[in-house]
Amino acid sequence: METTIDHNQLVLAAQNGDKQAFAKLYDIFAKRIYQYFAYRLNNRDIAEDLTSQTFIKSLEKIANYNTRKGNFSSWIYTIARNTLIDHVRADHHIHDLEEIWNLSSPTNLNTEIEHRIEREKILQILSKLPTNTKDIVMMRVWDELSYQEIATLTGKSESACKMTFSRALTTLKNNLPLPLLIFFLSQTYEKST
Amino acid sequence: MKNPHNIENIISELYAIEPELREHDSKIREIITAMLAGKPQADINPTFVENLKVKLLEKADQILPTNHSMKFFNPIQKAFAVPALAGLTLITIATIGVTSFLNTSSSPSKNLSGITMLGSNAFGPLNADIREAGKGGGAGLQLGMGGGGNAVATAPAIAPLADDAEDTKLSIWPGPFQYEYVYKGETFTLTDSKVPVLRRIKSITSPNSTSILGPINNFFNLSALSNIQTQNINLIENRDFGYMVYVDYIEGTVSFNANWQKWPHPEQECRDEACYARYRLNISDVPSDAEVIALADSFLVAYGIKTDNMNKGMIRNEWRTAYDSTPDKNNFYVPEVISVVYPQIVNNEIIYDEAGFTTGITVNVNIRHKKVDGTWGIATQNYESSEYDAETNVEKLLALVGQGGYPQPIYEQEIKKIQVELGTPEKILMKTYRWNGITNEELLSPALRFPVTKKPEGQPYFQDSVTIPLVQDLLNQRYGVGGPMIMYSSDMKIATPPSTT
Repeated sequence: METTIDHNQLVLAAQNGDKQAFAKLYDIFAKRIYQYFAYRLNNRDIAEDLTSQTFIKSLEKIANYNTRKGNFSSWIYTIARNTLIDHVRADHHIHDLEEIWNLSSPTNLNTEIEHRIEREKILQILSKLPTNTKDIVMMRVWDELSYQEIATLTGKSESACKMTFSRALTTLKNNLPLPLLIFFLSQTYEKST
Repeated sequence: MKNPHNIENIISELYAIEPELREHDSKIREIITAMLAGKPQADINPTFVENLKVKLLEKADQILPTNHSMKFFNPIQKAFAVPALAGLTLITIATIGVTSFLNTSSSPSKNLSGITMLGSNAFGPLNADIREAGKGGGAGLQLGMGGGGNAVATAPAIAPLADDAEDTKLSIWPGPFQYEYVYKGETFTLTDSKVPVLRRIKSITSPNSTSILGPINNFFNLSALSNIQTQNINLIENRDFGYMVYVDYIEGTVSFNANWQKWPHPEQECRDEACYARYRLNISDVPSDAEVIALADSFLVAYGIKTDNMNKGMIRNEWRTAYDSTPDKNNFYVPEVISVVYPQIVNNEIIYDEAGFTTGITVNVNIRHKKVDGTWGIATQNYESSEYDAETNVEKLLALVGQGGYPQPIYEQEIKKIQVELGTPEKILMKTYRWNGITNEELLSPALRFPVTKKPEGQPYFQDSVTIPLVQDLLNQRYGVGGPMIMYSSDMKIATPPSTT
């Protein structure tokens, strides 16, 4: 189990020149950052490219990171989020993170048709939500970020993030069509057996 | 279902925000479960991970500042240079006895910078001063139940008392019994009549005391002292969850302990049993072994404590043996700390203590705070080597092993024997201590370690092995005639242990 203080200890060591400490941070976060991109872009190559960019940026900026002002997790996710926004703007000439949701990548991460269908269905569910709300739901459920980390990333207060999430669940509870729910539950059952 | 732990976390947080959602628990669970089920499968390519890591480490050489170096004790100086320690406050430069420190800093470790070869028997007789030899701290059985450091002398033949146990079957003193160690391994031979014994060279060049003690000039004339040396220094991190670092220049050791003034102790405010119960740790509070090791690993990396000459960290879980055998698990004391040992390696051999446990750098992980609260065993790595006569008579060694590695008292009347089975031994380097009249010397010498292949049933038994030294001096020290008699009761007559010669 890693904790904020342990991450900060590693950052301090890295700032002092210990590259193995940075390597340890990379070991802890590489998969999580990659998945952050993969969940949103559904493209393995681009996810890898953006993961590389994120860690190179973090290495270049780590000297400026202040361990007293936050935690490393929020910091590196912020870099990842900005990298994602930069990528989307450059490739698609869009200017709002909201529009990422409307992108349909031609080269899917998942080759299994079933999973693609599943993802499209879940996107249908999430599409009922406002974009910012959708983003918070994904960060909490898929990225497993804490509300504190989400608050740092989105620039909102922690309590606002919590409230947004709970309202989202209330909306979904009231609107989720039963057939869709049964579909997801059947998928879940198949995975667990 | 994906990650049930995460689902429960999400749901419990949600209900804390909007308790009325609890009325729709089943549907809320279904929605979150569905969302997790729809999470894309995005397994990262391990080749990509490795390649990027290599690229980052190459880039780190250009970007990160160069490590500070220290001619003798590099990792520690590096730790001192870390900004986190910028608030270090010099507390004291004391001249306390070094032997008391050995209780919490017992193992040689890392940065093996060389072994100096000497002539045979260069350290004199190794069985000098038997009375003091056991006080070194590393020879005993560490249970890892509250901080470690202070060793408990191994007494394999003493039956465990069970006075505190609530189970009536265990609350009756079963009377004296002895363990009988039965060798069940393969036949083997020993051919080396001479074996090398290593002695750790301890001292570190101390810093210029005058520069550190400048402010003391206000109290007395420092220059009146002659040939000043720094024996030890004590440094603290003046921050929450900071550490206290003790450097012993004579012993050549460093240890970290929690700076307790900066660690929270809410349980100490308790004045009633209910409060104490609230802060008492439960077995469910104990993280997995992997989590504990990860915390210890992170600490070592963060403070630049190198583990080049150490094996991977291993949990000392002897307390679990006691837990598993306790009928009243609700009242079992769950330890506040769990020890992770990084076994030391010298000449490609793992170092064991006399009780057969690996020894090296020990990191204590505080379970309550999920943080490291102590580390010891960081020490110089220079050794002198000298050859000594070794025992080659396998039958004689097996007879001694039958006593459990230590002489057992012999009772005049028949007493109960409980069998412990041992397997084929491995050759190890064993750490022992020798009192030279001033300090405890640390010796590494060849020994045989017999694994316990079958433990006694129905009672806690902590030993995993029986070790026996191969160097004759050390054998004689352990089994020599005239050793102290062990009295269990006033009416019990004990005969002298047999001679090994």
